[in-house]
Amino acid sequence: MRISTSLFFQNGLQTINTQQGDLMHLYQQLGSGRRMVTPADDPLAAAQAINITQAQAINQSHADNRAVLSSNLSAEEGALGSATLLLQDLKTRLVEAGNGTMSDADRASLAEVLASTRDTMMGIANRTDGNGQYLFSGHSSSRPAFDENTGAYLGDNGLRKVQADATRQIAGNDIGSVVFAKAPDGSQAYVSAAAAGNTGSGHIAAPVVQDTQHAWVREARGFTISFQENTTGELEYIVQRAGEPPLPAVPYDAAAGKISLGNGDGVAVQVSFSGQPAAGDAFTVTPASDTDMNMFQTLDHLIAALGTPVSGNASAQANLDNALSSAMQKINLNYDQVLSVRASVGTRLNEIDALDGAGKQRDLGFSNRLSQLEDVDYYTVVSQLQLRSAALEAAAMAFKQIQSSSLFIMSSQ
Amino acid sequence: MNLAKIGLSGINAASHNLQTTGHNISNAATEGYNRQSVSISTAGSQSIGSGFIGRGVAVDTVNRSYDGFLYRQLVRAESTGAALTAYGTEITQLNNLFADRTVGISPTLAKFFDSVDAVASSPSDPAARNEMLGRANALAAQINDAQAFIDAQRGDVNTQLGTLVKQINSQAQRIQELNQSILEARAGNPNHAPNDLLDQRDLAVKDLNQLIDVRVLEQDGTFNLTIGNGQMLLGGSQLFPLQVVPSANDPARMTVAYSVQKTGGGTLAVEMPETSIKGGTLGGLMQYRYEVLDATQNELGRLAVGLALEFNQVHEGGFDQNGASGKSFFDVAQPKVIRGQGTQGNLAVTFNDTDALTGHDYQLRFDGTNYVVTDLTTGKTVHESGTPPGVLDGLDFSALSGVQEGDSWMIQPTRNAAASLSVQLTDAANIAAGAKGGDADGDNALLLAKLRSAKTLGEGTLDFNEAYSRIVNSVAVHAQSNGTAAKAQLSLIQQNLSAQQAVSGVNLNEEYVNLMQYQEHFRAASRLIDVSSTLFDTLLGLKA
Repeated sequence: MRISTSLFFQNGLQTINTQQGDLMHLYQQLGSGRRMVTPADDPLAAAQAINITQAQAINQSHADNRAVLSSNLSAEEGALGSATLLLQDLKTRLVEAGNGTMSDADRASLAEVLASTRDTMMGIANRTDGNGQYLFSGHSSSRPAFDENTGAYLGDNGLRKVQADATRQIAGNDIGSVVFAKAPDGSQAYVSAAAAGNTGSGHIAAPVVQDTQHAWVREARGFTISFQENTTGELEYIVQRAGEPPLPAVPYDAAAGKISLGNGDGVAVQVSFSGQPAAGDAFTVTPASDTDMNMFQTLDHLIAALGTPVSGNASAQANLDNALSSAMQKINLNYDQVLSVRASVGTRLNEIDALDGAGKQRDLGFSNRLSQLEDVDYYTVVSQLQLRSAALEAAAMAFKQIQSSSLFIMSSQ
Repeated sequence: MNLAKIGLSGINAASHNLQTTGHNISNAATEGYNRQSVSISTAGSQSIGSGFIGRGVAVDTVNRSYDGFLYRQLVRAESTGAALTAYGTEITQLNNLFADRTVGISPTLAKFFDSVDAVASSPSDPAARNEMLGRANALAAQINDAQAFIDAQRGDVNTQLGTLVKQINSQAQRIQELNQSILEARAGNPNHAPNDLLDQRDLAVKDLNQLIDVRVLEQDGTFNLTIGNGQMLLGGSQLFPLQVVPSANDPARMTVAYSVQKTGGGTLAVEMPETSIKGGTLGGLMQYRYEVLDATQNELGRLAVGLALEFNQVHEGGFDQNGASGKSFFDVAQPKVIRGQGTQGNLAVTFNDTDALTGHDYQLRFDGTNYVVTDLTTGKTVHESGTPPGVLDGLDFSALSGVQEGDSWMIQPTRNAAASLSVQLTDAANIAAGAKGGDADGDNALLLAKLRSAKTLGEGTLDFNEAYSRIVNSVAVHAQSNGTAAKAQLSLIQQNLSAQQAVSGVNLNEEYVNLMQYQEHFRAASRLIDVSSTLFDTLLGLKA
């Protein structure tokens, strides 16, 4: 086949250009450390890399969220820890006060202690985090959780949910009214109280549930025990369940030492009762879930009760004893609830740790995958570089050799 | 006497050959040169009593070694090659824009949603809120920038269009002039071909093909040129120049028009459909524009529309720090409607369902009985009936009034969205993070953060980042296939060139041998004259 001179030169040039172009691409790969210099080198891998980057970023975002959550829950845990110690101390004091009689001076000093405890507890309930946001107010975090004077809960029921993982939202707070003003969930305990205007010396202690399966217990409705004199002048009491007609009167037996609340199916709740109530006295036995459990208001009532003089007056003494007994029952339940919330916080912190571990594993997986898609294999590229350089040299030399064999050049030598 | 004449004819022939060889050698590097050779034959013989005595050699003509088929193959291959190169130059720039995945839209999108997550975790923190606003602005700016880049390329294509059309017209004119010159040369010297002029004309056709694919029809020795689907560019001695005109459907878009003769004199410019312009740099640019630029701009717009409208929908369902209902967070342009020429009615198109958006352009026409909606990108008819169109492909067409027969509109739903994306909120307190209100209420922000991986585009198959990675992938695939095609075309051009050069190319070694041969021939022929002169001298010297 005929080869024209210009074709020959063009072919030589073309070959050298092509080799140089390939070499250039290899240089770029080596220099940048990336297999794909532009997306056109591997379109599918380029798109996959972008998608994996997003997945990795989301994973990291969740990790950042968990850090915020963790710090919030730790702050709450600190507050709950202080509350626990305070309540333990309070319970001890109340038990001390319940033993034997107190002089007016003793009562006054106990009232001071209770007031100081109440204030400290209010401080804990209205604690703020590093940003000045109240921990226990629900969503209205710029308002204090509790009113300092009345002890009423001022916040709302909002849970501050944080996205801790792709499908898991964890609450970073607990609601103040749940922590400080509620009985533990599922509690079947009953709380007893004496009515305000009692004139007798009846003393009612803590109720004990006898049969947890009893219909009355499962329906969780309160009882009122009203004392009256029957036609013969004997003391008898009438038990009435909330929303039901009163039951027939039962004669009061002071020696029995207890009052049983039950029906034909047996005794539901039994409460220790002693002393001599007057006609017209009333006592209540209410389920804890249906009673006001606000511990600030409990303490306020007790402090007020302690302020009433007692010495010598049996009725006043009985009222004080009843108030003390009521308060102790409620504080016990409050204490259990604080422990329960603390356990829930601990569980959440544990879960966050577990999610952190899983998140780190996932991050590693993503990084690996990205590296597989994008990073250049130095050994392959360097050896290809050597190959291409040799090819380029060979092409250039071949060109020079053949070019110098032109008749015009040879005949002039 | 005869001997001298024979010698003279030999010298003549040898000198013709030498000159042609010299011409070949001088033009060895000339582009488009077809090597020439002299065809000679015997000058016949004289009949005398003892036989036919030859009269020497005669020069017939100068031929050029030219194979029309091989040449046309080469021209066509180079035309395709030029188209691929032009396409490749443009798409490389777009490809390089997406080259680094650690900069650009994807990481900015990620950082924006990170900031939304931060607000969801600490809704009362003013620093987190301000950060979210800042990141939103950065994201809008990135998307605006990407659009600006595409717009710049669009402007570049428009400019190149003007230059190319000018070049095409001037090349066509050159061919017209060469046609004229060749006719005159043939008229002056009817039995011989004006080889160099023919070479020049062939070269002009090759150069024109680099600009646009042209078909040549030879008629009585003149070249007629047609482009596209048979539109005349050069007919006989009349030139029908191309023009750059704004497109009838979209006045902001420049396109090419050919000229037709009007009855009664003058010419009319008729817009050429873009898909019929093939080959050469012009064909490559047009293909790039409608295949890549338009599609990329529309897809980017679809991403912007999806982001803005979906985010706004969730945002407006929440409450901000002041307890007020959430306002629009992002702002994006409504679909662009371009009224056709002579259209009387009014049409306004709004977004109905971002999930069903296709990113294609549409045309709505009323032909008197039927409303026809065509998807311009796929060519399919989406709606054809006597009732006006309602909601189609995520767009609401129902704001239609005063429609007359022949009215038409072009709808580009997402073309301008990426340029128009902006953040409407200026006060970080207006970020509607809460679902009910309250400083620590971040429930709405949690919903906003979930949008990051929600499949809100492409009929429930793509989230925002995936829509973006699809754009990158699409551009990359086009770039890669163009690169492969260009490489393949290069080797095809080389092969065609080899075949053509085998016939027409000058080989300097061959010419050197020819030089030697004809030089000897000349010497030998000149000896004849010498001998003839000696013979005559001998005759003269006989009379003593």
